[in-house]
Formats: sequence, structure tokens, C-alpha cells
Amino acid sequence: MNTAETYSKKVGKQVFLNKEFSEKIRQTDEELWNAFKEGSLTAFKQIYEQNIQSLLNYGNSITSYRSIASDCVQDLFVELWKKRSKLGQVKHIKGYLFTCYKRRLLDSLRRQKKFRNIEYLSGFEILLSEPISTWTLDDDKKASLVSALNQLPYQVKEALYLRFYNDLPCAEIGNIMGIKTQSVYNLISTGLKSLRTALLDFLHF
Amino acid sequence: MNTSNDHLIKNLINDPYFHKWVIDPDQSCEKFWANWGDKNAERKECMEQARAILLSFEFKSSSVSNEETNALWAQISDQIERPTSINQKKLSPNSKNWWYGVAAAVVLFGMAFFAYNNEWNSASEIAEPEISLIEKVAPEGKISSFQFEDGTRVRLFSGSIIRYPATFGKGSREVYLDGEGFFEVQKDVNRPFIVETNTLKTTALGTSFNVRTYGDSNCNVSLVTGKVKVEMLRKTRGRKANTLFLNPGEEATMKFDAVLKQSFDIEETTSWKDGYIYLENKSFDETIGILQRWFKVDFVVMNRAEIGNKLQEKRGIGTFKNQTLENILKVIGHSFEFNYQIQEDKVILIF
Repeated sequence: MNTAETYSKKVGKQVFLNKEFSEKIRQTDEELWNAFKEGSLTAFKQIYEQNIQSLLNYGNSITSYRSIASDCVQDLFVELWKKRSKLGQVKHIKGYLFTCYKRRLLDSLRRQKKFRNIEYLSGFEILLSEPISTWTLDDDKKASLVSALNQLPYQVKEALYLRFYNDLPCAEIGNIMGIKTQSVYNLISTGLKSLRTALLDFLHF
Repeated sequence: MNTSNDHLIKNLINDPYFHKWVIDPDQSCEKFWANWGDKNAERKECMEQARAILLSFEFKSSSVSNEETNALWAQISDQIERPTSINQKKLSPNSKNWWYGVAAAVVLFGMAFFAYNNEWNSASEIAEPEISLIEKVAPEGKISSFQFEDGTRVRLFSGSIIRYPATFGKGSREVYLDGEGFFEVQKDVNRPFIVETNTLKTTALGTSFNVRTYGDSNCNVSLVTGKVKVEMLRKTRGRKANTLFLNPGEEATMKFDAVLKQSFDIEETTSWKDGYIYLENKSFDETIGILQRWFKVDFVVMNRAEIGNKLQEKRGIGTFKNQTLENILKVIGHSFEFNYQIQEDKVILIF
């Protein structure tokens, strides 16, 4: 059986791209971006369709003000269209959109003074997915495992979220979070280590 | 699970270099683990399990409905919908016979061609009055039906764009199409209905026909009823104006910078307007092309080389209506013998 298929069967939503596959996507990303820059509304729409779910999901993980999250998406796309001819080359559209969107969203939350108040930061809540949840683990243990995982620092969770839930490469995550690629790697490593420790504690195998 | 496997998995989970492979592998890391896993099937299985365990978390996601994202898109397109100005190619408003107008346009075209050896935009035209156009885009995955102010009806294929004036001029009714549309033209002897695409211009009185553009230079005009005239807008050096008339059942195809006439299958060409996806007797590549257009997803084909030429002989079956991509893949996967896997914005087909 094909490995990509096996993996995603095991990990549900997460997708593992082989090299040929990710190159194909990058290639079409550049083409798509150029078409959009040249004024193709179809290309623009395609960019929107491909990314809107993940962008809103990301926004709603940062703030619980859903209306601000969606207003910012709207402003972002309107501005992209207006400035399209002045925009530079973009190799990874999703990464680029996430970077622009996060900046815009945080600015807007700051301006509306809704940033400092912790209740408006909804955070990235970790759940257990298929392979573990089907393991023979009773509910109590599952709950403590989940709560242990959610103790991870905000930044770690954000990096895990961007890498594995959104399948963004570490370099793009660096841009989005405003940190070096190496730091992204470290954050994710920290996350996986805690996960590993927690798992080994709970699973005893 | 046997104990030796447990042990291997545990080791992998603790191996930092394995983490690197999971997190963000570079080429040498990718190669190392590919080699390692190729040694035997058990190892490969263990790698998958270890990876799955390391990634056994998910994130709570706020579900965003399609209605929500569609509404958001509507707001965005409202804001970016500046009226597009283009030069109106006016036909003589007094002309009783609309062919005069068309002839005039052709002559004008010819002049422009000789003077500039270029496209339709010429200096003499800039002085013409400008009209502003409204733009409509058919939402992806949907067939939009739409009626112009004169009663002409158009059905737009998913993702297609049509531009038209708020009110049609006195001399003609002109619309601009990018994508695919089925037109049922309201008869008006004094004002021909004109559909322009990148490459072809189709002129009709009262009639129904299908226009389809794909890529920059390809275009089909397929006539169902009535009569239309099709002419080429862009010309290559040294070529004569290419104009032809179609009868029902005939189709004009733009190929290699020339317009050719051929016959077409009405059901196959126009069944999309009623929401049918026609896959009968299509080759694998044609089928994928059609599904790509309908569902706007990328297809990635894996292990294709392994089955080689056998694929060329296989043909798809069926006409689908209101079916999900998954249901269609289920059926055609049977005839082409592939497995599929649907992801957020792409579909993987595995032979």
C-alpha cells in the first residue's frame, strides 16, 4: 500500500507529502500567484477557496471574536486584489496569507483593545486523534493526557498547529510567527518531546 | 503487536533524527529513513506507527460553513467589483440590417490589423464612448442561471465569469465570457446578441448555443438551435479573417489559430447546464480534466507508470447529477481501477 495513504489513514487529517508531491504544489502556487497578479479573478477566487477555511480556523484559534477574524480576512483579500500588481513573487501562497493575516488580525485586536484580555485569546486547543483515542485508554487517562498536552506553552502549540494541522513548512512558520526557522524546529521538537513523554507515561509500552 | 515491534517503535519515538524526519526532513534525512524503511516491511510499518503516535494530537477546529465562506466571498467581490471599462465596439445604431454592423466591425478590424498588426486595441478606438460593465462569477461547484434585462438566459459553469452592461446598447447586445456558458437568446431582430471570448466572437439573433473557453487560446462554440456567426478576434500575421456560420449540431473550434467547423454531441456538450457530469466513454485523462473543472481540485496520480498502456484502453462510464466527488470517484475508480483519497484541496489517485 502506498505510504502516503497509510499515514493519513493513521493520523486522520494530517497529510504527509512526498517530495514530488510538494514540488508540484509549489509549482502551481507560483503559477497561480502570477495569474492572480495579472488580474485573473478566477485565480484570485481559487486562492480564496483554497485557503479560506484554514485562515478562518487560524483566526478563530487566535481570537474568539469571530467577527473580527472574518473582517480581517475580508480586508486582507480586498487589499490583495487592489494591490495585486505591486505584490512580489510568492512561492508559498498559504504561508504568505497566514503571515499577512496574522499581522492584520493582531493589529486589529490591539487597536480595538481586545488583545490583552486573555479571554479573547482562544488559543490552540489540542485533542487526541485516531490512533491514540482508539487505543485502550480509559476516559480518565485520556482526559489527563489531553490536559497535559494543553499545558504546553502557547507558542509551542501554535507551531505544532501550523506544522501538522496546516502542513506548513518550518520556514513559512518562521515568517508567520516572526521567529527563525531553527526556533520553529526547536518549538516543535519541544512539543513532540512532551508528547512522547506523556504518551510513554500513559501507555506503558 | 509483537514485542520486537514495540521495542522498535519505542526506539523510533525516542530517536531525535526520527523526529527530524517527522518535523521537517531535508533531503539526506528523507533518504536515510527511506533506506532504513526499505530494508524490510516490518520496519516500514513501525515507522508509520511511530510517526502516527508522535502525531496523535489534533487541534480543535472551529467549523466554518460553506454559507459563511460564500457570504464572505460575496462581500469581497462586492468591494473589488470596480466597474471594468472597456471600449464599446459600437455597431451603427441606425442600421436596420444587423449584418451591416457586423460587416462594419469586420472592416474596422481589418484596418486596425493592417495599421498596427496587432490586436483590437487601436488608437482610433480610444475616442469611442466607454461603457461600464458588471461582472458576475458563477460560484465554484455550482451552475448559475442568470437572465439579462432583454430576457436572454445564460447558464454559467462553475467558476466562469461573464461581463455585461447594465443596459444593452441600441445597436447590439454584447457580453464577454471567460469560462463556459449556455445561452438562450431572446429574439430581437434589431439588436444581435454577441458573445465575445478571448479569441472568438459569436453573433446571434434568437438561438441557443454553448460557448466554452479553456486556457488562453482555446474556445468552442456549439450551436443547438437557430443560426450563429462565429469570427476570430485575434489574427496571426498573414492570415485572412476567419469567419463561419453554424447550423444546429455544428460546432466551431478554435485550433492552432484557426477556426474549424465540426459536428458535436449535443448531450455531451450541453448536459452540464442541467447539472450533469458526462463521463461516458471518456479516457482517464479526459475524465480527470472534467472532474478538475467541476470540482476545482488538483489531482495527483500515483504509480501511474506501473500500469502503463493498459490505462489508455480503459473508458469511463456514467452521467452523474448532484453527486459528490467521492461518489463519482467510487464509481469511476472501479472502471479505471484506482484507489483515491480526498484531501482538503487535492485528490490523490493511486493505481
